[in-house]
Amino acid sequence: MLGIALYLVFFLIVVTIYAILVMGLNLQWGFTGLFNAGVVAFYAIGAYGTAILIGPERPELIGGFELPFALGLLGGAALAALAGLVVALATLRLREEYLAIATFGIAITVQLVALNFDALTGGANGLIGLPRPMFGYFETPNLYNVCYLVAVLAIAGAVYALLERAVRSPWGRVLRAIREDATAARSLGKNPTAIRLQAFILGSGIMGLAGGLYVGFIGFVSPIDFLPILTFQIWAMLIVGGSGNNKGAVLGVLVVWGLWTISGTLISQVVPPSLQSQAGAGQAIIIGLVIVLTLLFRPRGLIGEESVVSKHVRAARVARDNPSSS
Amino acid sequence: MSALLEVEAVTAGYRPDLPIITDMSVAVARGELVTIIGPNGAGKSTLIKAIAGLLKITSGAVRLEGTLRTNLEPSRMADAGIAYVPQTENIFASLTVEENLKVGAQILGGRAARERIAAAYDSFPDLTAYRRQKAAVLSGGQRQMLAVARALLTRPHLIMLDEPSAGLAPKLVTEVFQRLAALARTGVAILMVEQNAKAAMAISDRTYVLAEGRNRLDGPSAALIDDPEVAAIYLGRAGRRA
Amino acid sequence: MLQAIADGLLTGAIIALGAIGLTLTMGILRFANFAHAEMMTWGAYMALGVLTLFGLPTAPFGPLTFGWPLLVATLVAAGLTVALALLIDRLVFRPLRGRVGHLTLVFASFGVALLVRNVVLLMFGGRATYYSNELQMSVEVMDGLRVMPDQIFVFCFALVLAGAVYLFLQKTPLGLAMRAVSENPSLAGVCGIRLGKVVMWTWIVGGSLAAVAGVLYGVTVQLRPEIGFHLLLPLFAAAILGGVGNVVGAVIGGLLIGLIESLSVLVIPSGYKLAIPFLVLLVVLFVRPSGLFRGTSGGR
Repeated sequence: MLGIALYLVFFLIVVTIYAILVMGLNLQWGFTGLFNAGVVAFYAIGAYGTAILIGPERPELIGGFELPFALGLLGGAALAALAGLVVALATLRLREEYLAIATFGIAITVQLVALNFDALTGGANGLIGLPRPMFGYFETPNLYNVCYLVAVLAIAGAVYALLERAVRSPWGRVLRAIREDATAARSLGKNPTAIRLQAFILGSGIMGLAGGLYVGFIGFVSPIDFLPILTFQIWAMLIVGGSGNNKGAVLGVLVVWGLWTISGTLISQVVPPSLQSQAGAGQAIIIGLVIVLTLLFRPRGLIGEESVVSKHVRAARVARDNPSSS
Repeated sequence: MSALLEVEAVTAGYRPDLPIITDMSVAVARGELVTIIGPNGAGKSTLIKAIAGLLKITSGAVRLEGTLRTNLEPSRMADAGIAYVPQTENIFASLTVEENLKVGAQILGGRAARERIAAAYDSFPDLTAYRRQKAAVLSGGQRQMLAVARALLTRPHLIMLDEPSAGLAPKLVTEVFQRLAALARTGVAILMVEQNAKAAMAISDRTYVLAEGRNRLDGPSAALIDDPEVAAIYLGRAGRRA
Repeated sequence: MLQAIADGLLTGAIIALGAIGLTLTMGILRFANFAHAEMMTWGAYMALGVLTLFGLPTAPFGPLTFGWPLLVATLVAAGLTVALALLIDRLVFRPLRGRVGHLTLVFASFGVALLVRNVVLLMFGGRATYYSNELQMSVEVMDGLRVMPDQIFVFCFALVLAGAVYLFLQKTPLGLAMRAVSENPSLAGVCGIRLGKVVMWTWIVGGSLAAVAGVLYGVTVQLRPEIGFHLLLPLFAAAILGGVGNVVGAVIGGLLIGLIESLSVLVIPSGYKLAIPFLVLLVVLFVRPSGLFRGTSGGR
């Protein structure tokens, strides 16, 4: 019984961290219409960034700044935001899909750096023995995990509240207006590129934050936690729940991560070891089917977007359709 | 008078929830030259785009020689004998002049295509010198010529032109209108949208005046040309114009 | 140095074949198809499947490691790849086209890519394999330059095929229609061109080229389910570098990407080789987003 409860805590911590990741993606895709094909890269940058900033000093490694966890977390998020700035600057003024291609590229690059830049990232072994925040104050690791869950939930709640506020603010309304109709928004004197850039960077930073929280939880980073499949999983979570809706995003995490965990457990119990890689392919196919079938048959997801039709869009359309009245 | 083209109470736009033209009706008889005028934003271009099959018609009907042709694919409208010359981007700049004509004649195939293309050069001799050059090098007037030449290759029953005189030098404008009048005399029906209202009305049989996505007036051009109400529609919506 | 140039040109030729199909889909269907590179994986493995299923012998031609059986298998694989491309278009892209923003198509292709890659993994397993176990001695062409006969064949074959596609686009009515749609789909429709037919032919050309490129990659490197995943970025880089929609540009872009990738190993550790196309892409997007050559629908 205790075993199940402990596993549940573990499961919920991961779910909450992924929920933060999905909310970051929701800001980019759901609210702004920007396609990020390299979610895992921003997550990994946040994780490695945090790890390097808080890690103990080791002669053979670059970094190991032994900073307090909170600073490490912010630093990781800032690095992820910076990466977002670089790809967004290169692509946002161009065709929309160039951002998708460039984010895919950054995911490949981050994976290579994680695997090969031993002096910074520890290579295939990763960085181990990272301090977990305030670990010494707790009597047992289990109690610590429960408290970490509470802390992560609080941070996720804060991100949720921040995003809900942001998308309902005038800034958020302009965001939607741009997603609906960039030309119309431009005609009202809003600079779509600058506002998209802000949303993309903020989203990337939130993903980086999730990465840092993951490091604080498991106490190490290694490339195995940042496989390309994660990007697809996060996307599946977002659209199953319904992009453009943060409540749906959270629901999607539960559904998809639950499906993934259950199918993974089943496979490890039932399928002989010689066929495990094929079984893994089966899991990935489920994720792919979830994405494609949702897009085809339930594009608004389980919950769907709250219909907030932007007054900017309406105003711009009226202005455009009757230019003579201006 | 049996109409070649009948557009009945058509509603259309770029998105189903935001119609730009509402319940619009237009008719063109065989060999007739019809002008559509109206202030900016009246929905003139939208109307002919919808007829050409480029925009979704959400209600109403388009009939050609009595047959229902609503929401046909653009290429099927071309087959049915309707040619359309957009106002801008009406030629393929990356293709040579010859290739532009070949695209226009593609449905004819083989020998007929070659003969019609040769005939097009006879009617528009200015294009001959640019045969093997990219259409991007053509001047505004030459582009317009190429677009019209291309549209006429299939000998359509009806040619729709969106502001054929836009951006042309005054001398060329006169020439374009003269050629269109001559074309109409050969039996091709013409439906054109024009900003240059007086000049267009002067050569056309009938005129439709549109405003705010709806029909406002129509009748013989000769009667409307001095009608103060036409001016009022322009003035009412666009004080600085007219 | 010389060796690196030769290796780079070889990889470049294969990238070029893949990039032609990609640039055509980006130009004509107007979305960045993330599943395109997976067509290469699919094609390569379908050829392997045909060879294994029918137990075809290797029957090598002269100094090459393969013979007519692989050529037959490649033809079948090209057919199966076209079939897959048309099936995906029918089931996924066509229902979405026009109904949603075109980025949703990009998203769908992203999901399709995952599906295709993992279906291959499920069918064939994850281990690296080869078409043939024949060993091949490399030939010293000149001082410091050794190449395999297979590589020379692959390079020439890829260039001949690219040339054939160019002639097809320039000289045939279908090619003209494809170029017209690539520049302006609405005007092409108004001129009487059937968009559906052009879309179908784009998949036929793109799919068969991808299959052939996949087989050629399998012949000169090896077969792994990640072929497509690793080639996607080079293909995009080549297509964008050459100007989207421009076939000659895609070929030159592909050769350049192959060369730069190969030469980069002289300067940076080879572990980062896969990131080179991304760096080239970033530079192109910052400096000259419309590509080196005029595309039909590049930039914006």
